[in-house]
Amino acid sequence: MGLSSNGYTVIFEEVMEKYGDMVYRICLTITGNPEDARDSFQETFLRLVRNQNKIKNEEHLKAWLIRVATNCSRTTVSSPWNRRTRGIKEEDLRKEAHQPRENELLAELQKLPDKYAVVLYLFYYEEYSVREIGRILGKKENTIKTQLDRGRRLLKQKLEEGGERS
Amino acid sequence: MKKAFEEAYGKIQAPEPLKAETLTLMEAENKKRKPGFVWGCSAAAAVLCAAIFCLLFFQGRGAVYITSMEDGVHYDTVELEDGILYFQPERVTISVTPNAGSITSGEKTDETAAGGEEELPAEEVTAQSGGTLTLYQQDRMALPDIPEENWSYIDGRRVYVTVLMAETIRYQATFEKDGRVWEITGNGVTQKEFIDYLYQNIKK
Repeated sequence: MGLSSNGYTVIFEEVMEKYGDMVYRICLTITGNPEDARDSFQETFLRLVRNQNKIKNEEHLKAWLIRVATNCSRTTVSSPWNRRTRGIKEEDLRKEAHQPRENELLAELQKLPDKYAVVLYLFYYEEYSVREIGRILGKKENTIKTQLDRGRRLLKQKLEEGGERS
Repeated sequence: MKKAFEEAYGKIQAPEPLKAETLTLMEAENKKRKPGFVWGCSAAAAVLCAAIFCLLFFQGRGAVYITSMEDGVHYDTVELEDGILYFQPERVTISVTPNAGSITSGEKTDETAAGGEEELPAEEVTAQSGGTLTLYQQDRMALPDIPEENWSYIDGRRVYVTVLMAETIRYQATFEKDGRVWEITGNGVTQKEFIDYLYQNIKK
């Protein structure tokens, strides 16, 4: 627990209870597998410890966690080790039942470029507006609109293709 | 679509052992961090004293100066009455901006609108503080038309730097290099991280 410069206190247990699932969902959406999601999840919360005095209020905390979870997951996915082993991991995943492959929407969402997946998640599940997503992810509103539009179309297309295959 | 997302994501929860393990790591990190934090507070207090000294020293001679040198980058700050912060030579001038929109100007088709061409970053990096630094190439945009005193000069090149003092501090800079206009944004990063990244991109 720590006290930020403007008096807001970050209580670790409460943060974990309140936002743990959200951070995990973001990490899993971007990394696409539980092992990498776990690494990104822990890195996000360790960064919170190091930066706890910068958190201004509850709303800022949530936005900060979303941004850092997104960045940490992207870093994990693009690490040289991850790129080398991606093929192996995908093969493993097909064998494992960890990932909810029965959940078609999530499976297809994880195949989208992460910029679309995160924006769709924040818009539809976390119910953020386009303007708020832009502020959280540090993108312009028009860029988010475009990503949302493309993400929707790509997801729809992938779901239709999936439906035809089965 | 909303219902489908609720069904898909509603089932996903962070595993309890992962939460517990992470909390243990957080507590350990917090204990490790405390001595540094105390030193950090002492250092901040020392910097504040130095700033007050500078303020008193330079008062009556015109502007208020706060000078610092960090990792070889020299910042001179002059705070003026109109709320604009000026950093002098090599000279990084940061204007406080009222909105987070683009700081470039000029004719441009509405290519960033929904369904249009997406603005793709040339580079995106995560800063140590957890924020994001993004470099964009703005082909159809021009440098803004602003007063001379608001321009920064880095390596002899004109750069326009702004900061949005909103909930998330957003730095933006635009400059011309190799006949192209570039824009850098820094979200949730420190001023030093942003200026260092700006220096890297202008000088490389």
